[in-house]
Amino acid sequence: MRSCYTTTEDGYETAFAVNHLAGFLLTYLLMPGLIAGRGRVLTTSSASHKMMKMRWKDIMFRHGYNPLLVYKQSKLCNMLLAYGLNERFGSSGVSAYGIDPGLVKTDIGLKNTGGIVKAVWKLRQKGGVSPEIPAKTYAFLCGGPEPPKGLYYRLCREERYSREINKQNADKLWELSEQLCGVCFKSPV
Amino acid sequence: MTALITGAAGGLGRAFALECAERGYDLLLTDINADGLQRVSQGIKRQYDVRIYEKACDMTEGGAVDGLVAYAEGQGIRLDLLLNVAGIDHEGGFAQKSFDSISGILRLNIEATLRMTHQALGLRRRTGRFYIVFVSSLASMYPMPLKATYAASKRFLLDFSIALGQELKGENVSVLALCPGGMPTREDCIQAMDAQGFWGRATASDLEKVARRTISRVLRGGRVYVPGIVNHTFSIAGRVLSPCAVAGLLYRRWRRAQQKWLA
Repeated sequence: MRSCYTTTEDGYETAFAVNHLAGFLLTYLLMPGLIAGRGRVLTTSSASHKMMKMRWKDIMFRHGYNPLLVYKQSKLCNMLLAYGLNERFGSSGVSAYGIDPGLVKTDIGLKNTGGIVKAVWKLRQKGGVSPEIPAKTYAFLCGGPEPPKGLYYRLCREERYSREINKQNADKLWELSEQLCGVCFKSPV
Repeated sequence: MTALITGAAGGLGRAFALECAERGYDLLLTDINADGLQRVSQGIKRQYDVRIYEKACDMTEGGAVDGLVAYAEGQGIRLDLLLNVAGIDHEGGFAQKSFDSISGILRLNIEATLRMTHQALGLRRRTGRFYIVFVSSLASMYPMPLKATYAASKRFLLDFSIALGQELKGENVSVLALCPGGMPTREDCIQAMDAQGFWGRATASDLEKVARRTISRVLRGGRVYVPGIVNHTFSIAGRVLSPCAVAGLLYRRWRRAQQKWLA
């Protein structure tokens, strides 16, 4: 998270680039191995993906930057990536999931933030669980011989997700992400 | 419109490049950092449907600005807007620095900037208005101990910008000096702002807003822009209070902040 608007060297808003595009590009680069191994792609999303719509007209939040909304959108992008991967590569044996780790005692809200964002996170952090607890959900999704069937999990249980996670949004984000990363999944590495 | 942006790979240069691209301007980008320049050009091409030309160069090297101008002429580029963003600073006292680093500030912030401006005027479009922005600084408003050379170089640009604007008024040219406070352009700048505590944050400006408002103002004929109400107030105070008194105050504030940050 960032308190103020910053961009990567490519001119992409930092949270969008790090929280979504980086994972998208990494998945693209690893796709041949994922298909060969019938692998699973786990993305750390969040309950904050709910009550948020994709801001298609200004996805980088160049107007009206709000660190919380930027974060919520990036978590929605994580879910749309998982949905898009299942649509395109589910028949090849690849399974993708979004995970809500819940409120965890980490430093995410303290990295390069200041002012209100930092102060709020310091308070919220106190109510967080240790990382070992949500890690069990990752182990559950990776561990069994048969991949679980759902899309969104919390505490090893399938949960309901936002209606914004649909084919239309997933396809639109996929196409945009390919364009911004300069890749095309149809022609893997 | 076509804009030439120096220092385009840095935080503020990128912000200007994105703002210009959003407005549909074609771009000629330059920076000493060739990799960074290639990345920002690629990133903008992937987001916006504008033409982008890029040529990396060290503007302080002999012939570099001439080379950039020759490249532009070869591409048939005619300019409408020049954004002089490239600039440098080295923190710390005058006597503690090597003279090379001190003269480096003068060579880039003053000499290379003026050379670029002089040459860019020859590249302007035959018809229509030509706009020039000099990135000065809030530091131009008063003498700044521990940033003495940088602040003086920005003072030079502020005065020069106002004077040039007057000289070229009858030639359909608008000139604006941008005088921002701290901005989150790089990780070390963010740390420097944090080291100044409350006042570091109160005098900080958002990059995308500064870029947007600067271009809007120069298009409207603005001559000096100090972003932020706190900074604007400080700039007025700087004109009223004695420079020696202000220098004493700033020395005490900067010495504490630099000790904390450079430790």
